[in-house]
Amino acid sequence: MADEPSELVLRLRGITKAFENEGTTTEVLHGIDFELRKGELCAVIGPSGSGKSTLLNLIGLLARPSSGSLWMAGEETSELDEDALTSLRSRFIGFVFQFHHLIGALSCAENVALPLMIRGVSRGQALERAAVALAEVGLGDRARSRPAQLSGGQQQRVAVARALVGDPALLLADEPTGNLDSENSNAVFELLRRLNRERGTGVIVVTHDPRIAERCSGTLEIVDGLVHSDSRWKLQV
Amino acid sequence: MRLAWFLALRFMWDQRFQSLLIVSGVGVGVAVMVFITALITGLQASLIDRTLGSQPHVIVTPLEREGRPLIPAQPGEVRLRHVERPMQQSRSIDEWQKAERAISLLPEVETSVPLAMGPGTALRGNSEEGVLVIGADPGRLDGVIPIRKNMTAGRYEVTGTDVVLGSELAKNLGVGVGDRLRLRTALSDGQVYVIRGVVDMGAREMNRTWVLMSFRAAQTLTNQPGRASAIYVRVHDIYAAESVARSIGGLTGLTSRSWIENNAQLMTALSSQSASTTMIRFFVLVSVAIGIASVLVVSVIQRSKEIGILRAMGAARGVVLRVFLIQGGMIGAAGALVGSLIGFGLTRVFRASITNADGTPFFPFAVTPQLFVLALVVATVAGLVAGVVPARRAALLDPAEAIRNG
Repeated sequence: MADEPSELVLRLRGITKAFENEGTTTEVLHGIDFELRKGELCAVIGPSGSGKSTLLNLIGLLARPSSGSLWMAGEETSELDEDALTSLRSRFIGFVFQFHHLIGALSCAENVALPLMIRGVSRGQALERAAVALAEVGLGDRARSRPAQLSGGQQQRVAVARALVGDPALLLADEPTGNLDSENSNAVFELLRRLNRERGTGVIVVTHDPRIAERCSGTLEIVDGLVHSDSRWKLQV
Repeated sequence: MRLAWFLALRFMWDQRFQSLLIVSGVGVGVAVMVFITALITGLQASLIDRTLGSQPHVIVTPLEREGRPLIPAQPGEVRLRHVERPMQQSRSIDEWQKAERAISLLPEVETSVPLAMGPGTALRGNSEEGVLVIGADPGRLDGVIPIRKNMTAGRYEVTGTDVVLGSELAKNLGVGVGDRLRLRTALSDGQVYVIRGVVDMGAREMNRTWVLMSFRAAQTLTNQPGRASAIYVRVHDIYAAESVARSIGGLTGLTSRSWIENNAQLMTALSSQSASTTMIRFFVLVSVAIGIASVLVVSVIQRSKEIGILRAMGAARGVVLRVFLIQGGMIGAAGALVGSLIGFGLTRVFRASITNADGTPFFPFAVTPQLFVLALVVATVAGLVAGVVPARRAALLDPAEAIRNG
């Protein structure tokens, strides 16, 4: 391989995923090859039911592929047990979902601090870094607010801060702007792009919005569980 | 672990109304358990206390002679026969000093006293009463059965011709301290004795028949010089009396009966009362646990999206498990504190408001620190156990599924 292995954040080879339902097996993904390097921002597009979310769950180590191999930060994951996958998620992956999914019982700063606390960072230190992350997304003054006191756009920015506070190698965003008006949607995406540029975080965004897809470094189009032949995402093999 | 505590506390605070309700519910249950335990333990202790206020823990008497057939049956032979129980002539323990020494060496034994006893008759003017003559060293007998604190007149100090009478006997004979009366038995014409005191043992039978005198005087009056009719024993642990009685029997070859055997009916009543209290406590505990479990199950369902997010962010299953176990345990513990306060308050109210004629409390509650420690431990463990099912459910949630569908 020409590239330094450390440059490669994620690598998928021949990934398939089938679901068993009442005795019938439905294959959703039919062999996906994909690679993402540090600093790349990839949009995943495709019609509903094409398998985008399934792919994102596999990449996020929230589900296991039926066959194929997946390397996360150089580590092959198919043989790893649940605890090892959980630990990989904690160290390398940040998530942003369509609905912010902040924990209502916690303040914004505590929500942002959670990924660090999960890694074992003390609460005090985690809250300090959370305050910095909140300032980065322009919400430095809302640290003590509850998520419910914030607007939808602000909540999603808190979710971005939470995804990035632990400096993950890979950020997965599942329609992060799908629930926002165009102004907020733009603000949140710009935030992702800025962090991607400044920190070199690899970002994968599942989106329906063509304007967002256009502004990514490439697009991976999934159609019927396959990478569409016209996809602009080129595998650098 | 710190993370799990942090989340558990925040989750409970977030749903404080729900938390408050379930803690109150647990509190009421614990209050019932504390109250009923204090009441029943107290009642039983006072019953046993009253019973043992006039009985020794172990009574050692001469070996009862069994009837034996005079002509043994030959092998292969059947005999019709009538075996009569022989007269229990030997009413006395001949070598009581030896037996008493052996008894006093047992580590479970606190103290013991030899007695000379026998039936007699008290005469005064025209009245005649059947009595039970009890002779023993006053100090030592008082160490086995509390007598001195029950004196209604005079003192329990008897030597020579001094006697102390049961209160009812004194009333029936119309005598008091300083008066004289004649005592006689079937075996002795007896003599005149001086009344030095009157005792109320709290039991009618004793008050009507007891005549206490010195060991030697009773030996003479009941015509068993140098012998004792029984040895009374006090043990350290009243519930071990049965086994102590058995070892005394084995050691001395004498008949040895514990208060437990002598009060079999009382013991049966007490143990069935204990059984029913245990049942009540058990079912209250079960309903407390079910209450906690149902609140946590609802909480897990309400929070499944958040649990999914936590898991996606890399929180281990164990963390999620502990978040809900801790909540269960804390609800139990908080409920125990609330319940202990309510239960303690209830015992106070009952004690103050329901009293005997003489102003002493009617309900003898046994309120001890151990009771509250026990309530705390039991309720906390019940909370933890109640949390197991919801916590496992939360820990086993599929994060992707939970985030998508909640």
